[in-house]
Formats: sequence, C-alpha cells, structure tokens
Amino acid sequence: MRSARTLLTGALLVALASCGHTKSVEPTAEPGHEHPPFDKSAPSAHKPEHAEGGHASSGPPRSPTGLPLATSPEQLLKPGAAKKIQERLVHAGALKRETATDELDRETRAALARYQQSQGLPATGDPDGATIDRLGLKADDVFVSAKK
Amino acid sequence: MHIQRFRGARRLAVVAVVLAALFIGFRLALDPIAAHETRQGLARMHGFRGTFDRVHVSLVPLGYTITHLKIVQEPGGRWDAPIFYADKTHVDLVFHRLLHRQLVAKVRVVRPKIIVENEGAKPGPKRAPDLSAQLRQVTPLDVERIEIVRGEVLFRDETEPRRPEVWVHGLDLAAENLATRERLAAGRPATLSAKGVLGRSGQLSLFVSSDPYASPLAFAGRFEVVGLRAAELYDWIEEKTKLHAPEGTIDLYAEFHASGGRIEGGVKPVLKNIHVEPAEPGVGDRLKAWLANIGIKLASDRVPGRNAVATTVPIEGRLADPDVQLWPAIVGVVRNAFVEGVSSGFAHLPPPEAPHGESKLDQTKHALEKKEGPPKAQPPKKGSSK
Repeated sequence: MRSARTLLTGALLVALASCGHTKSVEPTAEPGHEHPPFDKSAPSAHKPEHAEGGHASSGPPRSPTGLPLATSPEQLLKPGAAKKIQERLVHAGALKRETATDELDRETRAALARYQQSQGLPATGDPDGATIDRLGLKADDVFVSAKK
Repeated sequence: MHIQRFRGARRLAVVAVVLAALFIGFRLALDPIAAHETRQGLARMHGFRGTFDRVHVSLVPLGYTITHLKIVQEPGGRWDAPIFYADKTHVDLVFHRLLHRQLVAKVRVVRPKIIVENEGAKPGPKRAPDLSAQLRQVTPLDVERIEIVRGEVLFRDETEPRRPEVWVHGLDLAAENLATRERLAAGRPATLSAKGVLGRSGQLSLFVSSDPYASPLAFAGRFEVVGLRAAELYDWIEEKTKLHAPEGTIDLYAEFHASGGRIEGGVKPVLKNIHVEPAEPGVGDRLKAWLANIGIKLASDRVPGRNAVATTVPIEGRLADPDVQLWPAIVGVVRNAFVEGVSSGFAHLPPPEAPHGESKLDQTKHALEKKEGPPKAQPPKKGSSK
C-alpha cells in the first residue's frame, strides 16, 4: 500500500516536472495579458476583472442602496478626475509634468502621499476628500456618487 | 456737551472691559469644564477606564484636543500597558456644517498605539475600544472623518503558547464619509485608506469602501503586503510546523466584495526565494524541511533571483462563514509554476467563477491548459444560502 502511494507520488512529481519542461518554464507575459510577471506597475494600473463584467461603462458596482462600491480608489473617480488631480499636484510641485499620465498610477500615488505629508494629512497615497479639498478641487467634480 | 460725550465714552469703555473680562473668564473656565466633561465621559465607558494629561478647547477653529489619552481594560488593565494611547486626539467641528445646524466633527489621532488581543473563548470584554463610539459618549457629534497619523497597532494571539504578534507601525489612515445620517454623506460611500509597515519589512496598504446604510453590510476593497521577510513569521509557524523559513519574502494580495450577506474574492500569496529549515535538529523535522524545499523548488517559476511560488485562493460564501477553496489554490500553484508564469499584483483577483461546478479532475485539467485562464472559483453548492 505504502509503495503504491510512493509510486503514485513519484509519478505525479515526474508528470508535473515534465509538464514544466514542455510548457513555458521562463515566465513571459501572455499576448494581451495586462501584467507581465512581476511588473511593478501592475497593481496601480490594474482594472479588476469584475469591472469588465458590465460595470466598466457604468462606473463601479453599486450597493443595495445605490452607493458606489469599489475595490480600489481609482474606481471611485469620475472620468478625467485623475488628470485634474495630476494638474493640481504639478501646480503644487509634488509631481513632474512629464510623468503625468491621466491615470492614478504609481507616480501619482507617490506624489499624492508626498503632498498629503506636506499638508499634515495621513500619507496614504489615495485621493480622499480632505486631499481633494486641499488641492482646491470640489469633491463632487472628482468622486462618483449615488445616482439621484 | 463735552462732559456727556466723556461719560458716554467711559460707559463704552466699562462695557468693553466687562465683556473682555467675561470673555477671559469664560475662556479660562472652558478648558477645566471640558476636562471635567471628558473625565465624566471616560468614566461612563463600559469595560474600560481612561485618563489624560490635559484638554484644550480652541474657539477658532472650533475644536477640542485631548493630550496623552490612555485607555485600559477594566478590570485588570495596567496603566503601563494601555490598550489605547495617543499623543494627541483632536476633534474639530466642521464649520460649514454648523451653518446648517449640523454637529459634524473630524477626528485626528496623532501617534496612537493600539493593542488588540485575541483571548480566545475567555469571558470578558477583551477588545480594542471603538474610538468613534467612545468619542460619541464624550461629545454628541457625528464623526465624519477619522485620521490616524504615525499610528501603531499590535495584534497578539494569547491563545498560542508563544503569544505571536503582528505589529503594524508607521500607520497612516484616513476614514471618511462616516456620518451616520444618509443626507450627510453626499451620496458617497464610506471609505478607508491605510498605509503602513507590517513587522519590520512588509509594506502594507489597504482600501475599503462600504455602504454604512446597507443591511446586511456591503463593502468592497483590497489589501496588499509586499516584501514581508518570511523569518518574521517564526512565532506563527514554528510552533505548529516545527519548521521555519529564515530566507525569502512573502507578498500577499487580496481583493474582496461583500453584498447581501455574501462575500466573494480571493487571496494571492507570492513566496519568493523561500528556504525552509527544521526548527529543531530531529530527523523527522529535517525530512519535513527537505520535502518542503523540494515542493517549493518544484512549484516555483525557477526564474533566477526570485524563484517565486504563487497561487490564488478563492473565497466565496456567507459573510459569517466564508468558504476558502483549497483545490483551485493548489492547481493555481501548478499553473503559475508551469503554465502561465507568476503574475504579480492584483492580476486574477478576484478569481473568475466557473459557470457551473467542476470536478477536481476538470479543475486540474483546465489549470494545465493555457487558453483556459486561471483556476476558477467554484460556485456555491446547491443548498447553501445565496
């Protein structure tokens, strides 16, 4: 019984190993794959898969009472809001103009954290209401809200 | 005429002096009155005792500051090991809300130290204080926003012999739209953003958005720890496995969404350059460590310099009793090692759900085919509550 189990385990290991040699051992990004392996910019650029399931065009998913719910802060931004935030960060000297990409990317988050720290706010790197207010923007122009 | 004008001016001066004296008296009395009220509020807390050094009320802007606030559990709490301490706690009234006759406040806590202990099934109120609830006892305000700057949180598991700890420091946190009345929230969800350091090496970030008016609770969010040295988990794994991992790092990504009493999402651990050693010099433990290292080597992507092992663990089910799906996690290791290559960050989170239940054989077969995509979370079994 024990030898049979050993044989089975050995066979499984050999099968896995051979599978590894016949498939891609050196990981590469799939064509069209959003993130190459260990691409450090991946998390900030990620669009969650459930957003593609009908939510992408209509904004983030809604709670039963109609409030927008998001797994990341960029999902709570209105279209074009990231650009407005970047413009204000550039104006405040926290972000270089050439690194502004109209997306809430890693550089923008780092700039937001620097700006928040300089303003005595919690340096989370996420665009919250107090940060938006200090940047001279209106929260209603930046964040999506419940449909009236 | 001249005398009358002089008398009028003198009366005005007397009134001004009296008003100034009243204002100074009021101002001088304000801090002791606020300190008294704070002491009363702290004394009304159930299961806790509180103390502080001083209280200061500012009139412009209208706010209130407690210095060196300390809270201990009662009974048995020690003042030299409080479960909550903060250098400064500011409560500021939101002026534009005041114009609309709404008492709404923002709370800012500077350098707090919070201890959370898991005491298992022991009786008694063993938990960290709910800061907003306690503040509500001290001040009758709606708290709209809470900020934590340079905070520390220590979680200690008292149910384990080694009392392992998780320490988060350098914690910056902003929670907003917390107002309990719907019309104050301006149609936006309550959000929580946090950033800090887990242990000595893990860069931690957290984002949660939630609907405080939904019943049952509705929320969504993500959690990320990057670069946590595996050696820091010694106290957590050594006791149970008799192994430890002195080399290597762990990244952890999680994404979740809860609504209608159900939660779905996934956790993705990525182990890099992990090497396992026996905690004690026994033959059995050495064999276990050898097997573990073989397994890690076999399942890793074998990219020099990182040798990463990754998978995605789907989480589905009722919020009170979520189902962690083990099989997609196991086949995920195989897929990441041999088929697809390890992808970082939140890729494949939350994992896609299979349209109908698949057998373990089918799940394994699909995981080994590149075109099939990542292992899928299995839908709830018939009979489970949806």
